Amino acid sequence: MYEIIAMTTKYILIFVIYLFLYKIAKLIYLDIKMMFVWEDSKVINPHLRILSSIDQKGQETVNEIFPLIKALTTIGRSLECEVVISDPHISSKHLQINKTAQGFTILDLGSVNGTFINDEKLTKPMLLNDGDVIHLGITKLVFSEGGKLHG
Amino acid sequence: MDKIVSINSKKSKPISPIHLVALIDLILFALLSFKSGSFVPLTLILGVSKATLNYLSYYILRKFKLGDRYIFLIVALILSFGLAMQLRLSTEIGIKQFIWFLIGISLFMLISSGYKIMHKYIRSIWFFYALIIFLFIMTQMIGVRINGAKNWIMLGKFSFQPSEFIKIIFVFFMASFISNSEALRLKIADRVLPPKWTLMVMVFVVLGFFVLQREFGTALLIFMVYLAIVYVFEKAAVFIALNAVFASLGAIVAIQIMPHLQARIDSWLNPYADIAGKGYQITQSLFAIGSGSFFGTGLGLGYPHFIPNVETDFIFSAICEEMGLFGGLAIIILFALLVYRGIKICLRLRDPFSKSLAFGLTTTIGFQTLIIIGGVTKAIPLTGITLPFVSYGGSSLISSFLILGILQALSGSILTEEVFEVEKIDNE
Repeated sequence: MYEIIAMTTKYILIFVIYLFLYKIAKLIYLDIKMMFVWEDSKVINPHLRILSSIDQKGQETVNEIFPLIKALTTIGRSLECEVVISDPHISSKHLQINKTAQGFTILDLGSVNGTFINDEKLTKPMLLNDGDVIHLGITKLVFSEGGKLHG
Repeated sequence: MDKIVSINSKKSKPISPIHLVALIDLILFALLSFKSGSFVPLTLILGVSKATLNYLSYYILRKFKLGDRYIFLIVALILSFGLAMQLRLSTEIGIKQFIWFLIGISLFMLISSGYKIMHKYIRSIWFFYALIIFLFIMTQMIGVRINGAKNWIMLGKFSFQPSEFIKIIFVFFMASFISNSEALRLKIADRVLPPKWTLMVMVFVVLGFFVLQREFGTALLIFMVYLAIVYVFEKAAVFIALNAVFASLGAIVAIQIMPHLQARIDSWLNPYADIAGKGYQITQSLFAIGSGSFFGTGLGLGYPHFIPNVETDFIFSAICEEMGLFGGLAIIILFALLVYRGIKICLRLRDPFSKSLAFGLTTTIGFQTLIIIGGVTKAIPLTGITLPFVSYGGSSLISSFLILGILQALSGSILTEEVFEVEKIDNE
């Protein structure tokens, strides 16, 4: 009697064990996917890419991505800013980016070292175009309107 | 953002894996309670208490946000295999193992919530090294010989195997080297010895002690952990190659002078030459695995008692015999998932000490599994070492729970604390 029960339960056991493994693998998969979705959602929306200083190979890599979700984004060293960059050459409140009907406009907040858009000093509010390079201190930011993944 | 919402809303209450573990526990233990022909309530009670403890620990971990949710689940299933198999092999051993499991799981809960208190303070490399050497000397002085190796310490009624704890202290020792290698910059006769070379000498002394105690499995384990940590955190390929060359030279010499080791190599290369003698263990293990086929003979229907040391070293063969290739593969997959989670915890930590600690503990479990499963399946020479959470033995089970507890603690409060601190520094 015991033999028959043991013979049949072994199939059930293996099935349940592999169901468990499947569940765990799926949860881990979702976990990783969520991470990617969060990264992707930052890229799809308009965002700023902070570039690292040039590495040994002479290539610039993207260090971090800041999504521009709010109507007003301030950038600087201070904790009160939306985008905080720890760079001694940046003022505590360096510049701000406004979301307007026409697009995103950039405005220097009277910083000490100034802001440069595509190597031109920023003096008055300016409309940002996709791919504009913003220089502040020794940091380089690239504005992107988003929309495409892994671009 | 839309994508995130859609994924969350799609989750329509799936069966939580913790229920599946409880189901597996109930099936296994209910089956075992009928094994002798009549109903034995004690076995079922053990199964129900195991399932209850699973739920309890799982919900405590979730309620108090003590970190990673997966590692305990994975280990809970590995433990179901282990406890059920021990109970099937012998009721007496099964009950003893269950008591060790109770002690282990309480230690696990204690460590995972309380480890953060001491995490920051005990990081001295010399302290850990002194502790390792002290345990070795204690073993040599008051040690007891069991199965040919003098590696047990008797404390009153209890006996424990110091090497099981030395492997954890060794990981702490390595982690303190990674976080502060300058402590090992020694001056000997006006010449400064680089920290790496000091470390190498120290590690080889530890290996020498293990060989003296005839614990080749643990020696191999800590050597692999040492190489992995140095490779990952120091990126010193030449240094590692040199270490490997030295260790292999040492191993060749040891094989030449120790007949015991020579016999093991022989029985690995050709176990069928002497089935009744030297090759008995490994051939019995292979026969057991072979007779299990894909789905196994069914729990309680195999003949695992033909394998010597089946409850410790050869537990994997017994599982393969009675639960089949699929059962054995499930064990390997479970350990692989555990290692994956461990590496994930390690990647998220920032402090070099915690990072290398998490990495070292994870690789300890991973390599230990590889060495013993490789040994019993004749992929590598057999060395006496336990399968974490499955093999019988109080020291082994408790040290595995300690490792798990520290990993859990690292994934929990220490991780959040570190991320918070890094953000604070970045913002200032």
